[in-house]
Amino acid sequence: MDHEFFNTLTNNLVEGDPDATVANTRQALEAGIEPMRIIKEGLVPGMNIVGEKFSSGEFFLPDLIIAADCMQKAMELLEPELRARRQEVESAGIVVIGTVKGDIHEIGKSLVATMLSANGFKVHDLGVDVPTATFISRVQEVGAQMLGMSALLTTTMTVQEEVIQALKEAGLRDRLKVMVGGAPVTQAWADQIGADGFAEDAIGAVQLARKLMSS
Amino acid sequence: MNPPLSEETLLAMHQSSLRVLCETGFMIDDKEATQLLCAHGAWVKRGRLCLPPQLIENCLQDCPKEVVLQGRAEKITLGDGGLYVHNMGGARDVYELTGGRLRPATCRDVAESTLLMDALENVSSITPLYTPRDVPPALMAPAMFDQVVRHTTKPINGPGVSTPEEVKVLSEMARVVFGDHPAVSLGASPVSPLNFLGPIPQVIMEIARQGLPFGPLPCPNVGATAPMSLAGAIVLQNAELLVCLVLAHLVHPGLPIIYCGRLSVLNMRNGAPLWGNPEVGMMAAATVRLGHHYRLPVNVYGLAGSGFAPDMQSGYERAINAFLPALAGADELSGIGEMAGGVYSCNVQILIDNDIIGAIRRVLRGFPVDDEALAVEAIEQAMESRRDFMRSPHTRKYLRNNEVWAGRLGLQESGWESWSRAGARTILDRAHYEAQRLLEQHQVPSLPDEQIKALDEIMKSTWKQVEPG
Repeated sequence: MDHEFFNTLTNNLVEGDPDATVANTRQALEAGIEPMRIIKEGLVPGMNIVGEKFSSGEFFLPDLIIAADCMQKAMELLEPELRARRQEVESAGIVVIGTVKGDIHEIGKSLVATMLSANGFKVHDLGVDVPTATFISRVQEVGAQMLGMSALLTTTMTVQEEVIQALKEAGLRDRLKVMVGGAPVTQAWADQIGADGFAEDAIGAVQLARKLMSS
Repeated sequence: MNPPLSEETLLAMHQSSLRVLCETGFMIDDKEATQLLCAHGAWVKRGRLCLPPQLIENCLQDCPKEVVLQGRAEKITLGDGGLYVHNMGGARDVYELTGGRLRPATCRDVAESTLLMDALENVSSITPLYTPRDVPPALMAPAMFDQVVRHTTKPINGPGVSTPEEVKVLSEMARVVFGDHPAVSLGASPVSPLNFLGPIPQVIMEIARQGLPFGPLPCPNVGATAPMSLAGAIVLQNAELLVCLVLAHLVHPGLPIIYCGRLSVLNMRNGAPLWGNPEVGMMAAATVRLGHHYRLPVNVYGLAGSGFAPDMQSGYERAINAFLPALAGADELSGIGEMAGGVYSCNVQILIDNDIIGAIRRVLRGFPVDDEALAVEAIEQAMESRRDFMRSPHTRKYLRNNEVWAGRLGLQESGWESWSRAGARTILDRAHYEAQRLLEQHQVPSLPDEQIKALDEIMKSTWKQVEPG
């Protein structure tokens, strides 16, 4: 019986149906199934299949993103239940991410935020045109282990350097890893400003994040 | 073009854009622009501003059909039926042919590439090719304009601008050289989809107040910031263009506006832009048709590739993407020098692109089909004499009239043997040596001393305003 719920949820993720995922998650909870089992036996297998299909070339970024949306909506129902049982899903890391001050481009940054979240990171997305002071205060507030910054313009990428400087002045630089991205950003730039890493796309960002967290 | 863009199809796209602006609206938080648009019938719905179709139709009616760009010595009129071509703008790096490395671009690279393009017959107007990384961000746009205006007498497309302050500084610099009514175009981009938050409305309004020709540059990506259907992406781009057009027009009725398309597709495996895909050319051709439906001059890409080196991939991709809109009647093509979706550039790419455009221009020129061209008599004469056409006056006449195109780089050795003996030069080699030759020999008259001094003063005062401490 439980097994049928889990199969359904796995299929909901693979087929990319957020509404069905939410409805079936709710039903599974009402049927008395433990939230941790719903995650581990229903949702995570679905994400894994989506990941495999992406690796094999059958699925694309939109499939990953829709599956991530399914997962996130299901977790909104499940997290209160986990907290009530004093349980939590181990997070891969706490990340603060945003586009720097003076820059309102968001699609790349949002893709990275979604992919990190889908891969188990707890992501605080500050949006676009983020004041440097806001990056610093949020990093402190949530105990971030990683900061990700995006800039699309050659004229705004210099703000990434300013934020790293501000982290140093606040005595926070050694407490977290910094990764940067965006069209004008290069490895050379990341090295120059003292960032810990740079990724050219959202998939690369997840790989980098995992590597930085384990170092 | 398959499916053909009939008048009905164009009308359907136009009506769809009107519906998007009337039913969905766009995001904007600039008070002055919002008030102006509302005074002309716009309204807020679900936090977005909506435009009445009639406002858009009225603004379209009043837009000039031609846009003049005037340089120090040359002028072009977009919309006169000719094809004009310019280069991509704001590349981050220079691609070094030896070693295949990238290095950050400098003011000197802006200057040198401008001088090179001034020498090339198929470059009609010049945009600052690089964003110089050896100046602070606040000085990048002024430095770009400064280096371009010193090194060309062709018309100039100013750099893309992001703040009204940049517009003011560039206008002031343009007036130093061109007088009170400079015909230097400026471009500005909203964020797709339909995001006009932040300074972009003020940028548009300032360009309009300054009276400069305006080229709005929406850059939606199919499937990410625009619908995955190409038709839907064109509808979205058009909606964004219409917002720019209406706002500019309300501030300055009759402002010269160039309808600019910058649609691209993404690699859906990793989200990277794919400027070399044929959809870029297809959507550009459709954009030409739609802009012409509005009787506006149209500027699209153009020479665009995804490859990371100036190689065969880049060659065939950009030729396809330039040909499609050219055949559709584009007034202006961009992309000379573009590499890897606009991230970097090099002199060799500029030279090769000059030849690609030369070939395209040759195609657009067509060939005459009159009695003389049909050559019945010339054939008779040839058969009556030595049975070849080499000696024929008919041949000499058509040769002198450029019936067969001779590109700058295309003339080469007769066969493998002579080619090998001459050094086995590829097109990259020929482009490299030709670029060097032109840079050594080509000269552009200097600006008068008082203009150079005035430009330097503007740059100094701009720096003083933003200098830290």
